[in-house]
Parts: sequence; C-alpha cells; structure tokens
Amino acid sequence: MLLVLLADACTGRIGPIGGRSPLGANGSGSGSVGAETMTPDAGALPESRPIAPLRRLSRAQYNNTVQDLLGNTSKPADKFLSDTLGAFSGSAALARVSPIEVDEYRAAAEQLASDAVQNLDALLPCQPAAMGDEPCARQFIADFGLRVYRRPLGSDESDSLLQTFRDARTEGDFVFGIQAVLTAMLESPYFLYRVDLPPAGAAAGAVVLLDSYAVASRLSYFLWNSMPDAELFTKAQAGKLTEPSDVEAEARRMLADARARPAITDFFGQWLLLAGLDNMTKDPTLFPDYSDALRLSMQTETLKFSEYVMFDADARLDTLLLSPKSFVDGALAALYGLPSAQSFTLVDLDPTQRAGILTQASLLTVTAHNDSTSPTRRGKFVRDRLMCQSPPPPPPNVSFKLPPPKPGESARERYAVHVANPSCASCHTLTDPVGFGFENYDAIGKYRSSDGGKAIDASGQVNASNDIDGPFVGVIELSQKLARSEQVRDCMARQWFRYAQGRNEADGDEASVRVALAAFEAKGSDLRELIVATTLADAFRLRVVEVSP
Amino acid sequence: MKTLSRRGLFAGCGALSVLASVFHPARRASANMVTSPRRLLIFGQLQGAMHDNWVPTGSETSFSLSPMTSALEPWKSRLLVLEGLANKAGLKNLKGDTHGKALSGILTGDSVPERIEPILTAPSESLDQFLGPKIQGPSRLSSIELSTSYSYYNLGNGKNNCLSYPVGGGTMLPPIDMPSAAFDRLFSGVTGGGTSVADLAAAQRLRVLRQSTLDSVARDLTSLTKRLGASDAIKVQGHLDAIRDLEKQIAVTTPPVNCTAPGRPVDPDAKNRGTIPDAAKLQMELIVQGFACDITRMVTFCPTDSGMTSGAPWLGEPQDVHLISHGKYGDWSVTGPKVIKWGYEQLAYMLRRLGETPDGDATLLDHTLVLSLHEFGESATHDFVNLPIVIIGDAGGYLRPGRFLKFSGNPHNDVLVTVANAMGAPITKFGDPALCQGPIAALRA
Repeated sequence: MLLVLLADACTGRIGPIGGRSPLGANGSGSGSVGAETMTPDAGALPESRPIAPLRRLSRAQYNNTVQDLLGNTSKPADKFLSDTLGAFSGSAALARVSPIEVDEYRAAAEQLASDAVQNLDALLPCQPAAMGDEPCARQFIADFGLRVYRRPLGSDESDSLLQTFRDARTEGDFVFGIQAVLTAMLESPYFLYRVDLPPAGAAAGAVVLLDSYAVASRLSYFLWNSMPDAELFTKAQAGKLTEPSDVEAEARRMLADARARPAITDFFGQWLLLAGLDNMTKDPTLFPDYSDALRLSMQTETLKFSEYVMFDADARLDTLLLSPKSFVDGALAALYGLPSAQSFTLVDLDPTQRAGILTQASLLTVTAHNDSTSPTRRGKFVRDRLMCQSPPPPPPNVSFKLPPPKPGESARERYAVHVANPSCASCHTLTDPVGFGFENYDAIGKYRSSDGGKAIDASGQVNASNDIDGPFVGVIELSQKLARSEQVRDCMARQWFRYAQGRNEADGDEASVRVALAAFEAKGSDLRELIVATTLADAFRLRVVEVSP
Repeated sequence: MKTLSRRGLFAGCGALSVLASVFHPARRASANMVTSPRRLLIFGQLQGAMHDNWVPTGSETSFSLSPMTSALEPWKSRLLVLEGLANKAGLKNLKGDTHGKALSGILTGDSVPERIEPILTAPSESLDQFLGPKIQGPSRLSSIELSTSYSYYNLGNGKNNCLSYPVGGGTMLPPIDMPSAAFDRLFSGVTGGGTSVADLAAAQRLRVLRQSTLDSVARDLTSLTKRLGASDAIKVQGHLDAIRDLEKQIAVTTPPVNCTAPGRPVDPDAKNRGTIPDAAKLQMELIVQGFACDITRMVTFCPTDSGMTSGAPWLGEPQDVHLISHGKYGDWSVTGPKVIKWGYEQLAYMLRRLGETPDGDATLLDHTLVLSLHEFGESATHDFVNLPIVIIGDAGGYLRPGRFLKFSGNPHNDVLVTVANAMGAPITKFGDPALCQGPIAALRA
C-alpha cells in the first residue's frame, strides 16, 4: 500500500504538460476581459480564476518601502523575528501574523514616525501656520496616506486618522498629532499587507480586473520589491494600468531601472536556495578551505552571475544554464583553479569543467552533505527547481544509513541500495541517476577527476521527464539537455508565477502559466520576456472576488 | 480552584494589606482570598527519544528512571511518566511530511490533510494558544514562545521553530530565539518606561500616542476583515486580536513590582552553535522571572531546533545530529543517549530554578504544571508512536503524580485534554475530535 502511494507520488508528472497542445501567445483570452467575468478560450483550459490572498511585506520589501516613503535607511525589518519569504511560493500562506510580530510592527512604526517628524517640512504638504492645524493635517492624511496605503484613502479611513490626530493633539502639539497619524499609518494593515481590493460593486464569485492602484503595487513589489514610484502612481490615478499594453510599457520601464536588479536577483537567491548556505557546515578535516568567507563568496558569485545574465547579458535560459563565464574572487579562484582575483570580476571558466548555474560552488555545496557529495540531493534539486517535479521526502521508519564506505568505493556504488530496495527506488530513480552526473564536483564544489584513487564516472540518466529522458555524461551535458527542454521552460514559467503571486499555481491559473510560457518560447527563452509576460497574464491583472465589497 | 499562596493569605489579612499591595499594587485591590497564578510550561524536545534507553523500569508506583532521564530524579515524586501514547493526528495525514506533521501535530493534536508549504502548518491552535488567554488572569502576556536556535526547517530565513500554532490554525508561531528579544517582550514592550516624574510625563504622552494610534489601526483592521474571504479574514482577525491585546497592556498603568526585573541579557553569538546551552540558560532564567513577575502564565520553550541540525558541539558532536539519527556520519547509539540526556538536564535545570524561586507560601514549581514532549517517538525511525511524555506537577491536586503509566498506542490528544482540564478548562476534546475520548482518568488524583 505504502509502496503504491510512493510510486504515485514519484512517477506522477506535473499535470498540465503531458499531451497538451501548444497555445499561441494569446491563447488564454487575456486582454479580452470585461469588468465582470471573462470567458475561457476555446481550448481545454479552465477559466482563469486567480485567487489573490493577502500577503505581508517581506523584510526586504518593508525596508525598501520605508526608504522610498521616508528616506529612512535604518532597515528596521532586519530585526523582525521572521520573514515572509520575500515573495516565493509560501509567502501568501505566511501572511498570518503572530502577536510578537504585531508588537514589532508597533515598535518599528513608532520609531520611524518619531524620526520622520524631526524633519517635518520634508513630510508636510502644507504649512499649519498658514492654513490651520486641522486642515493641514487633513491634507497630510490625504496626500501622504495615498503613498502609505498605496491607493487613495476612503473617507472612513481619513476620518479615522483625523481622529487619531485630534486624540494626540489633546496631549501635545501639532507635530505630536502628525507623529501619531504617521505611526498609525505605518501600523495599518493597508501598509503592512499587500491587499488587492476588488473594485466597488464587484459581485462575490466574479472574476474582475484589478484597479490600476492594485496593479501598480503588484508591479512595484514584483519588479522592485518596494512601493510604487511617482510615475506608477500617476498612471494609477489616471486608471492607466488595466490594459495589457499599459502594463507592459510599465514593466519594461521598471525592468530597465536599477531598482529591478536587486529585486530580480532576489528571485534567483530564493529559487536557487542560497539561504541554505547560511547554516551549511562542512567537515573541517576534509574541507579545511571551507569558511564563512568562502560560503559568502559562493552566494555572491551566484547573485552576481544571475544579475549579469539578466541585465548585462542576453537573459536567455541557455546563458543561465551554459555560460562559460562567472564572477570569482580570490577564494573562489582558488577553488576553481583559476588565476587569483582580487575582488569579484567576470572571468572565463574552464569550459570543460564549468558552465552555468549548475556548476557553481553555491549550488554544489548546498546540495552536498557535510562530508560527502549527495547524488540524491543534487538530483532532487534539478527535479524540484528546474523540472518542477518534487519527489516527496522519505517516509518515516526509513534508516538513511548507507553501507559504510569501503576503500575505493564510489558514491554510485554506495547509493546502489536506493534502487535495490523497491520502496526507495520509486523516488530515487528520479533523483540519484541525475545526481550521479555531478560526481566531478566534491562537497564544496571543487572539480575532481578521481575520488579515492578511482576515476570519476559522471554518467547519469534522466528518467520520467517529458522530453529529455536518456543518458548523459557530466553536468554540462545535463545542462544542455535542460536548456532545450520544454519541461524546463514550463517550470521556469511556473517558478516566476510563484514568485510573482507568492503562492503555487492552482487550477484557475493554468491559462496564466501557459500564456507566459508561450511568450517565453516565442522570444527565444528570454527570461526578461518571461517576466514581462508574467505581468500580462490573467493572474497578475485579475482576481476572483471572494466577498462583495 | 485551590487556594495556594501566601499572597492569598496576605490579601485576606487586613493587617497585612499593605504588604499585599506591594505584591500586586494595581491588581489586588480587594481583600478577598486570591488564588495563586497557575502556570503551564510546555517544554519541547524537538527530536525523538530512544524508547529502550528512555523508558523507566518497574511498576506504576515503584519505578526507576532510566539513565537518560536520571536528571529528573530529584522530582520523581512529582512526575507522571507516560509511555506508549501515539501522535495519531500526525500519522493520519502523513503523506511524506514526517517533520511537518510531527511538529504541527504534537501540541495541536491535529494535522492538515495534505503536505503543504510551509510544512509547519496546523489546521487548529496548539494547547498553549488555547489555554493562554484562559489562564492569563491579570498577567500582561497571554503566552510567550521561546527557543534558542536556528534551524533548516524554517520559515525561509534560517530562523527557528517550536510547537505553537495560532488560534484557528495557520503557520507556526515563530518563537523568540534571542534572549535580548525575549527580555524586551517580557519586561519592556508596550508598557516599558521609567518611573521618575519626568519619565511619567513622557510615559503619559506615549500612552496617548499608542492609544490613539491603536484605535485607528483597529478600525482599519475591522474594515479590512469585512472585505476579505474567510481564510484571509482569520489572518487579519489574529492581527486585530493582537492589537486589542496591546491596548489592554497599555491600560495596565502600573508596572509589576513584586519581583526583581532582571537586567537585559547579552545574546550569545547565534552563529556559534557552541553557545546554545548559554542561550538556553538565559531563556530559562527569563522564564523564571516572567513567571515570578506574573508577566505571563503560559510559556512554550524549545531548547534546540528540530534535530540539532548544526550539531551539538558542546557535547563533542559537531555533525548534524538529525542526520546522525538517520544513520549518517556517526553512531546514533552513542550520540543519541548523549543529546537526549542533555535535553533532560535542561528540563531538570528548569525545574530546579522554578523550585528555588519563592512564590507566595511555596515556590514557582509548586504553582506550575510542566508538560515535556518530544517531536517523535523513536529518533532513528522518526516514528509517531511510543511518544516520550513527562508531566511534572499535580496542578493543584488535579493530577496524581509519582507514577509511571503505560498506554498501548492511544492517541496523545487525551493528554492535551487532561492538561487543559488540569489548568481549569473543562473540555473533552482537543485537536482532531475523532482522536479524543476525554480526560484520562488514570492520570487523575
């Protein structure tokens, strides 16, 4: 019984790929949406019904937002107890706040407001002496409130903040009243959460276009990890962010802006599990060169490389997977056997040993054990992150104990038990044969041609894929396979969807994934085009109305 | 409810009413009999045990503790050692999610039907979150959740885990891992401030600012809740509850003076795994002070992350203990007893410090029920049966300790039900109702 379940879990392919017919770029009916409902395209795709759960600002988003809003660079969120995963697939689920975090938000808001009123002139749109305290407070609430709430305030909200002003005014001066208002704004759920309010009058159950303010926020947090800028607010005020052509123009403007670099690079950091290196220890007797500094260099390399591919090179998936260049510093140059470098510079790697992200030390290290490589973890990484097939973790009651290593025995020989035991094999035939191809790289990513006196056998095998089944030798050949796989392109579209939405795709999102994938494929697997297409898809611009507002 | 404390006697004695007011200046205005706070401490050991090394020998009333748990020997007459209960809630929906279901099921008695991300998600609240507001009384915080360390079963940023889940279910409540942050939460927080005349004026201004601010925030949260679907509304409701809680805290104008507030601790270097015992000790001191000052009556504490994934170098074990339990790197039969014994030594330290601290006519330990739970039964197999459970204390006479009780695979939900009843919450089910029969008669006095 257990065996059957596991076999299902592991051989099941990701649903939407197998046997579907390719769609054109306009296949989902995107762009033909009315204010009330949309009709599905003639294909077999279900109607787009994107949910829009609440999301909390991540640490990075909070820090960037208060910097853009107040010029405050103190990064108060760095002290917060937990992060909401930046933006990746779990972030919507992590919107639930704990009482401790609410207290943290309170303390941060109080400090930010107290600092901000030290320079009141920069904050206020008016002079209280000239126009009177309360009228000026009202104008501040309307003008500054729009930037904090990222939309115009309703009259109930303005009145509520004015009440706060009056309450505080009884105990202090005008400045104290403004300080209280600003504190309240920075503790408001409309600041701390990303709320995609449906338009007034929308019926529960309907699929509606998001208004331009909601789209502006989605664009800014997706592409900049921060609040909208003045231009986005101007477009939003004019209602100019509902048409795909308008959204596309903004997405392209924003991608060309320097603020896109850290935000887009953040995707790669999360997608490639770079945070896993934070806690990664290695056996110091086997890896004396491994240090905190090297660990940091590994993370930096992958972030710099991702930024380079996306913004300074052609942004193509092939380049990400196969580029023979990367950024190394002294520590990494030593690890890669290259001439020493002072600080991070773009260098040519040995093209027989290194190509693209899969041969970077960060990934090779984070997917290895403390003392040895792990074909299982490395294979799982490829399956999970690049092929969107996630083998489940081992069942309980399983010992991970492999036979003790014999002299001269390879990892491949030791891992044979995984496929000899049928209850292990159903999953391990997916992971291990892919991971064996990585055996040329040790547990900190150093290239090796022999292990324990024996020549490395880096032959591997991809099974149960949609389009790249078959043998390969070494990671570079694996990367070449991956670079031409539709399954991988589909997976990239899904990963960007998850990053943009903060959740995994659901049934009502298939059209959105397809339309982004179609654009990605039509534009030569250009990842920048995939990002733009992600912002044009239904899921980015529409939502199901849960409760009639 | 049983009247236990000297505080109660003071309050009942007119001649000593001045003294009584020293203990609780703002809260004990009446001269009626007052019951001592009844507290609950949940001590989470985030790995399994080793059944054969853990289990006592002997009979129900005449038993010997195992070497692994021998640190508890001084409190043997206060122990209920429970063998053979099972985390059936976690087992029910396992679906390849071993750690997720174990960690989410152990204190909720419930589990989500699928493996979902993040894996530390439960469909209903944990026992501490359920009981916290019920036993809070006049204390400031309904509960606090503490831990020490980083983990890779994290919320995405290398932070830590423990056993608490919010009311109505959701993702794990992140525990506070830094002692300085735990101190701020307990002893400063929203009511912090000095007591000099100048400070009092500033404190009054601050109180007005906070009150006016929180009023507006509450109005926004209330309006937002109405605009959301059910699953989002519950998240915002949790936020609103926390704001209401802050408002209540502001309303308490007199800082507690019936205890010595400790100095703000200096955090050990979190990147150095060798400092975990130091951090654990600091957190345990804060728990003692938090109880003594009646700042909270509900604490959940996990001294390490799940499985000590970055090793236990202070025990000569630099490798990932979790993987050792799976048979990698070393010999679990050597490492296991060492690290699990260490966990019981921490529990013993906690009991000793509670026992040394006066509380009314007795000690904190006399007025605190302690529930010690592990993540799994057997570490090596990550199984959900034979959970090692120890209850310390009699909860004012509700329980009959000094015994070793064997069960045969019963769901552990009824232990949670029994503890709730011991703390004065008369429930018959907790978590998954299908797994509950009611308070366990065998534990009762």
